[in-house]
Amino acid sequence: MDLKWTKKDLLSLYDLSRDEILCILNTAEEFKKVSQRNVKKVPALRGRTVVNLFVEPSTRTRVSFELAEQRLSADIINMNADASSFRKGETLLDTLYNIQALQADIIVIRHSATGAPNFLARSLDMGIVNAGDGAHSHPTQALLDIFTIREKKGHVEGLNVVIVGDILHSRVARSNMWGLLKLGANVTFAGPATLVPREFEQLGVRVCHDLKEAVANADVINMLRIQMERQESGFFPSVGEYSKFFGINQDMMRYIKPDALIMHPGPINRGVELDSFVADGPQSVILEQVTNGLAIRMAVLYLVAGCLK
Amino acid sequence: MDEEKKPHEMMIEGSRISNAISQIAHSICCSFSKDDLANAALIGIQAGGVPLARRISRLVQAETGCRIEVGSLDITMYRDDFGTRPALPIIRETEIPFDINGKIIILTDDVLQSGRSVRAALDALTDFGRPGQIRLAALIDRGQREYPIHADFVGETVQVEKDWRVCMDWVEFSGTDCVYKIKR
Amino acid sequence: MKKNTNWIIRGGRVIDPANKVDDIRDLWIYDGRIVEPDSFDAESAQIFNAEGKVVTPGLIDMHVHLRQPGNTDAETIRTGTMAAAAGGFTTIVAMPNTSPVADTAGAIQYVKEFAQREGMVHVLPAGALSVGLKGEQMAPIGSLKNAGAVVVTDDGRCIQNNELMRHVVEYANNFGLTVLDHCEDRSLARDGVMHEGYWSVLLGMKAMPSAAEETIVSRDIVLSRMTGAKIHLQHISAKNAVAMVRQAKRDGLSISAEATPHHIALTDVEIKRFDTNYKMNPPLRSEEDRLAVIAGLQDDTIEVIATDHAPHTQTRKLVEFDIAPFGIIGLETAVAVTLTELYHKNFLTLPQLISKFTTGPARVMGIDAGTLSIGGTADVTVMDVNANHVIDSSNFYSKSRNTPFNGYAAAGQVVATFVDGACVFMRPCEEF
Repeated sequence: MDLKWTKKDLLSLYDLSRDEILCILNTAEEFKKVSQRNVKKVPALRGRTVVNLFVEPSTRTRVSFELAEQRLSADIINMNADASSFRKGETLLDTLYNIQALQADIIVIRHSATGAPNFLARSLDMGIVNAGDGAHSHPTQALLDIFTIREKKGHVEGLNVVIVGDILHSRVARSNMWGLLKLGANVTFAGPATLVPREFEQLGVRVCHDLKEAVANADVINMLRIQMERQESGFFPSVGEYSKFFGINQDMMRYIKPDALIMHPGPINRGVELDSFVADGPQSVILEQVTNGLAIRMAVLYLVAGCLK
Repeated sequence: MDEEKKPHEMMIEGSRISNAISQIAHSICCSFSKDDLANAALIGIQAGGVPLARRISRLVQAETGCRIEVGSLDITMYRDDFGTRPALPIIRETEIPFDINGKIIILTDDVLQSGRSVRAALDALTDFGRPGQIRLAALIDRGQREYPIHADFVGETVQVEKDWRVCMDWVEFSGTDCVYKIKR
Repeated sequence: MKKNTNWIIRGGRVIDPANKVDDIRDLWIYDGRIVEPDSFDAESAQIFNAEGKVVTPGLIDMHVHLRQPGNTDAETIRTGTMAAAAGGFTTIVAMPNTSPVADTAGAIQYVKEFAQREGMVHVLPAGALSVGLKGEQMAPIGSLKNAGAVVVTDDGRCIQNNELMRHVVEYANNFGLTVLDHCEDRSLARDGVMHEGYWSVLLGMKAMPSAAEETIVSRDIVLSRMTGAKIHLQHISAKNAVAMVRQAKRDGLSISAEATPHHIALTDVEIKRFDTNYKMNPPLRSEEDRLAVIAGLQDDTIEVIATDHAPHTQTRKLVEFDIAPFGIIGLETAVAVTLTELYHKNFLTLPQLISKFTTGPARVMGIDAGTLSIGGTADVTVMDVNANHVIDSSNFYSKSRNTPFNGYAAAGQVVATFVDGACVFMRPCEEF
């Protein structure tokens, strides 16, 4: 419990110890309470400047981070850029050197290129918070998922957590995997063979290409959003067929334990990964995930800011 | 240098601490009418103020029969030294299970020195509502004030040179009650 | 001022795989040629004390990107050949993917003439296989040969159209030119930036499977069998590619292959650092692949080590991994890295290792180089195969610094390099 946080960046859950993950989760519990008060704001980051640099479109994550920053009383700069703009003119690093010269304290970065935050953290003094990079890492999403699981189930260790969908291209799946494995959960990746590589088995993850079999004993089922472009690239024949074999509808719920949590990082393709009965049903904790995301991001920003010189 | 290895010096132990707390509780009973006490609550500043608040509450109830609610308040998010320490202080639980609007709130802390913690606690507290009155109880007042803040109820006043830090162990945390000083 | 081209390289262990020489002897050089000992007045020569050192034929690197014309902020013929000299290479083959592409006689002549004026070592131009390296229309291969091209290749690209490739190899064979192929099936490699395997899956990187390389290796073997043409497979890196080449050679086909020092020394685990100095194509592969490449070198399935020296400026490399260009420099690290990884780890003997840099490439390209035969050109490399040192890229002669080997603890390095009997590189004494 008395663990001290010492990192100026949050890049990936792969880099964190079990205790560091617990430190974030515990800190987030107190920040969650802040959002339940009348005055939903604390002065912790007063006078600090946070730059939200989104080099890949995002609405939910950006809004969640922005609100977290506001509730911590930070000053905020929002920058949206297209990855291709960095190919032509100024490099990403040049842009960030400029931001650093303006005495910004923290960069929250979303980037389509895997490893971009790691690359920046090597060169910059500012704190870097990864808001999702390529198919690599999305630590705050995984932390909010795990926070939600812990809140609902009381613990994480020993739970059977099944993550379903396009694992190959999913930073959410990879980040959840690292966090869940470190906290002692059993992780299953499920989906079609084209999107769920067997290599994960080497890490102790169960890989399953049959959804019914995968969800049979699950305590938590986290459904990933399927990108329509995967169909065009030939990873599966059609959204209809994907949904039939790897989506959860009312019929599939018969195979799922009545106390299993249904999660989704959003935005949902209703009728594809989840039908509306399930998404809005009693086992769904999808909106709680959104609420908890705010607390997690406040905690992360707070901890990172506290370690800046 | 490691905290453990710095010179420690015991200042107050055991029953002298209980007596000091009893004295605070008694003063509180004398300072408020029965009606006011019924409208009062104790909020301990994390961490050392929380056991103090609980013990005062028990003593007041024993003396007057009046049950005073207890809450805890973590002030880390409101500190003015954020980011200037080598490691972040841990955020402990804030638990205020009652409406503070219009209430008489007695803030409690174990050691009162600069007044900065109390300043932060006032900010934190007012984010929860608008108390009718706020009072401050401190078990130890060691002087060295940096802000214009004073305690309404004090257990013991001690004289300690500037370069010593006054700390406290509680039975609730470490199994023993004692006040000691550490060379900075 | 004419440089001295009379030398007596004294007391070194002379290893000349072409003549099966491996013993301690003096090497006499007169007027830029290797001569019999005592065939001229020793007074007129400069002595190079090579005691404790290894003396070899000047090394050949058949895979170098000199970037001139077109991208001279990364490298020039001048700096690239200085790097070659410092790395022990006396003959290098300049890849045609310059700007403009070396797909015309004029472009080949430009490289030749410029290299003669400014180059520190012999530069042999490679011509393009297809116009603009576009893989659509055959380049004027005959004219390229006449202008001085020693091999033809679309390196960096790979002709995807099998019919065009068939005609290109037949046509090049007609002119006695070996075709060098960068084996990569684009539809399988797609936009991959690293090897597809455990680490790409873990990191979520866009990946290219070994199958992308193996598919084209297999195609090239089929085309060589069909046409009898000589095809040299550049920088092979995948386990099954090595196996296919081994079988093709057993079948007596005119197939040859090269490996790079980085595929010998490194694997895809390095990518977890997201350092673009580990981004190259073909990508660093698994440990299993790395060991297969070494086994291929051991049984001579792979007869050439080539660097694929690919300079890029810091500006272009210090970016997100996905958008960084492929390629690393290698001229100044190849000898140190291969001595460390292959000789000192007992995979290859010194004569075997030297042959990969001399007789191997000379045979593949059909050029007269890579020997210390009496009467031949005095291209000589002297190395200290035991010198322990840490590679420091800030000392490089190359204009670029994109190497994964900065800080690498090496055993062995080049001490001196002679081209046409003239000393073009000598390591400063204080480093010994």
